[in-house]
Amino acid sequence: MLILDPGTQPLSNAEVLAHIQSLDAKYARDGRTETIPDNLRKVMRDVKSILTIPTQPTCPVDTAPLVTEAQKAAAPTFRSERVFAALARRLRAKPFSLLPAEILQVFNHVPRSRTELTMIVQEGEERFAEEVLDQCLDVIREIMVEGRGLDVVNGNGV
Amino acid sequence: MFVLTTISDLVRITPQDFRKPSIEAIEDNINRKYANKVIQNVGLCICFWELLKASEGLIGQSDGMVNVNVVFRAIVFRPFKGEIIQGVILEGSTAEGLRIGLDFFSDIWIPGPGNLFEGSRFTFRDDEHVWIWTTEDGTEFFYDRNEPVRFRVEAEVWHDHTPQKPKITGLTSSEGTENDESLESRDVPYTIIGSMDQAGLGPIVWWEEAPEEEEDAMGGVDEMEE
Repeated sequence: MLILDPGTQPLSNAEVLAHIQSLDAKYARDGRTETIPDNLRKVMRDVKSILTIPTQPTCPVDTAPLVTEAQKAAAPTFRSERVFAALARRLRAKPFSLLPAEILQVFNHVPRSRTELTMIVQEGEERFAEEVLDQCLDVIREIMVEGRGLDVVNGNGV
Repeated sequence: MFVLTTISDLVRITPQDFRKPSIEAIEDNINRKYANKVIQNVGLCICFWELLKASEGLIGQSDGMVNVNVVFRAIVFRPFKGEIIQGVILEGSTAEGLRIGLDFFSDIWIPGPGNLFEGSRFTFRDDEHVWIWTTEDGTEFFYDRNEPVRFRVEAEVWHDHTPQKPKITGLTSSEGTENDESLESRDVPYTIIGSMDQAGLGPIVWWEEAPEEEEDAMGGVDEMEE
């Protein structure tokens, strides 16, 4: 065994969950559910279970128990792959200029309050003014919850 | 918390698997070898992602197995330092710290009270030992079992379990006991050390904005509508 690349390409939780769900569908379609190795079955089940707890943004809204209408309306959408590209483009540009690791964590946690955003962004309170933090939260909500701004070809120059 | 790792390996397909399409046999073989296993200094392998290269299968002498040299990518769990992750508090918390788990990975330690909010202590309450954070104004917040929490990754600890040559000096085999973390009494291959001492970390319910005032929501940080 030789490790050619120890892991320079990160994956978001949504991509991993989507991959595991597609594997489930493939195995069910091909009738391989009983023949896959036990360790694979266990790790797939466990990764799905932790990524779908109600506090995770990747929790499927329609199957989550005890979810109010307001929470359903505020749930992020991961249906389109362009969501990540659009979000990354807006957050990399000025006035945010977030690092790639921070953009990945925004996608994984979908911060909705200033506390959550400063938790993810290193030294957020020193780097950005409060209005810029609020603007960042608005961009996140606009793209990930409301699904707007996905078809912009050139950046809006926020 | 997941990355893609590129690995090159030799896959040996048994004759029982010859009736499967090659890609299926290779994928099952890789998953059997790598899924849910820790590779030292790389991380915990989750599953096969995609095949990049596969050579022709060569049948070995005398055993009939088909040997294929493959290059593939696999999903690996390895959070980077400073990453914020969601987990669940497990049982097994002691005076030395809290134990957090993701369902597929249970070896995350939050040493206490240093890596918890200031004012946290381990006490006996309601017939069990629990960590409690007492704020300056006297409000108590509990680190309850099975509570979803957010924590920051601070360090990772690796223990290599590959068999070593036996030592001839007469010492016992547990020579690697100069652990950096005194709570590392279990020799697991991959441990993550975390912290929950910043705003937004710790149990998620503490930081939720409630429409009505809840008794265990944090005041003063998230404004609640009166």
